[in-house]
Amino acid sequence: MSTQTDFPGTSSNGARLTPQRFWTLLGADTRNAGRDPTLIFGMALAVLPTILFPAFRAPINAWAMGMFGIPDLVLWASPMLLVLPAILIGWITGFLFLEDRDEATLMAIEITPFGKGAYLQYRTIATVLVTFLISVVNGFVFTPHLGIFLILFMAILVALFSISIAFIFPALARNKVEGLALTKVVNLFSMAPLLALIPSFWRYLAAPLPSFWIGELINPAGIPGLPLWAILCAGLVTHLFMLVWLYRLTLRRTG
Amino acid sequence: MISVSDLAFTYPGANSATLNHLSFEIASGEVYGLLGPSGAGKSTTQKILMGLLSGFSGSARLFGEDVSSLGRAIYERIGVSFELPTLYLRLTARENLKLFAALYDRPTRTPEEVLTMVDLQDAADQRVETFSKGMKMRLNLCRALLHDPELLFLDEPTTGQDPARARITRELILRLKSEGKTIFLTTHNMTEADEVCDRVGFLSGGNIPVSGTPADLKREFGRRYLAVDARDGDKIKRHEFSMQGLGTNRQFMDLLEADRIASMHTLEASLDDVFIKATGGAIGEAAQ
Repeated sequence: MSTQTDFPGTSSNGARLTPQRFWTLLGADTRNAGRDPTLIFGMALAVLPTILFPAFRAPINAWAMGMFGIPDLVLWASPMLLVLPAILIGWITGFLFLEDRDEATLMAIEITPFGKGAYLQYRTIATVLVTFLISVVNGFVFTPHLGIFLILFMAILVALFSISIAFIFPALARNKVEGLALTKVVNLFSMAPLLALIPSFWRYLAAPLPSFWIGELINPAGIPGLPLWAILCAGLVTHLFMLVWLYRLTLRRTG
Repeated sequence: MISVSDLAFTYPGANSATLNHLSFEIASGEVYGLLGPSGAGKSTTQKILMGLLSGFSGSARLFGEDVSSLGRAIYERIGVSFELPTLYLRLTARENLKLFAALYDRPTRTPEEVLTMVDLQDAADQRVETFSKGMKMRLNLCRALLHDPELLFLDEPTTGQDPARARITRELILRLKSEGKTIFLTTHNMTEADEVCDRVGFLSGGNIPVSGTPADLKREFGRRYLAVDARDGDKIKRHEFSMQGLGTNRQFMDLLEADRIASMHTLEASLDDVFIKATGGAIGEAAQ
């Protein structure tokens, strides 16, 4: 008797992720998400700061100055405004993952030459790409003082953060109901960059949270802290660590 | 085309094996029906052959090669229609088919072509969430046919369909057979199995204790008797005659000569009878 342990279909001779396939899948995902009222609300909210703040930055700042005496409120809020679209895009992708698993479309994809692995690859690239582009625009809108190199670096971190958020859902939620409950926890991540505004070394207790380092990088208050190279390294390491952990968990959970 | 030998599989945490020393073969161009009660392991067998389950022992071969060595390209040659609809509900039928067609390297049929095959062309631009279960199952079948595969796995393909639609699906299966396709069918529907399968196997206790052509099985499990309903005055009276020596049976010959026979038929078993005898009347008691 021969013992079978290998998982069939794991060799790489299937259909690859070509640009044409990428755009077909992205079109289908956009239509699919665009027909769900909750998901379309999330999509609109993700691009709202980018559209709204350039036009209303001055009146908002003037109002905040008059009301609380805070100069340039938009800059102070920028860490959160940069992370929010990433959380929303990640949340949309995460919910599409949950639907794929709940309705077994992921199993239907697994029995095509493309396969589940390539599909996860597509979703990862699509989420990273969309978030990166929005974050670059947001970087120039909210934090132009960072300069192009740091804006691009920050956009990479935010994009990695976004796909990590997406993997949280299939990795930790068993269905869409659990996914909704998890959304509340995920929303707390949007507050983590604000912890970098605490003018004390105690703020580094939040160091394991990847989005904390986005706030630390922007540092709108100019609070003394770690050197820039250490912030960049810590930001990259925490984001990659979270991503790899959740990706592996997702693979395990999607069977 | 398919060769399974001494296959065994136990789900993690289960007390008993779902498949146990299962062996069968399916030739190219054959329609094979794997029948059995719910939970007998029909879908498990399909999943192993499709490469969706690992951790089994024994041998499972497709196209003459072990399933473990086939790689992803094998999915260009097989089409699968699952027992439950596995579709994007907010997309239309056409959008679903376009999406899945994009996942194959080989040329695919157009959505219109496959939708017409199952009489779903009028619903092409309707969102799947508005479909009945039967329509979803037909769309499942469309997806399995998109890339014109040589081997089809059909799991309860007529579930949720009304008799007229189910007939269209059965006729489609027969047409695919006439085109030389090999079809592995799992079903609870014995009439369907009787109509479309060249051979059937009854899965019970993790293996196949009974298999053969539907006609042979019905004869084997039936009685070699002829039931004759004959007029007796105003009433109809039933007579049963052994098939052995029927031509010399005086009573039967008298009925024939007197022109009193209203109807007659052989008492062969139905596939339902064979199912009950082969599986011991088991209904859904197996582990998975």
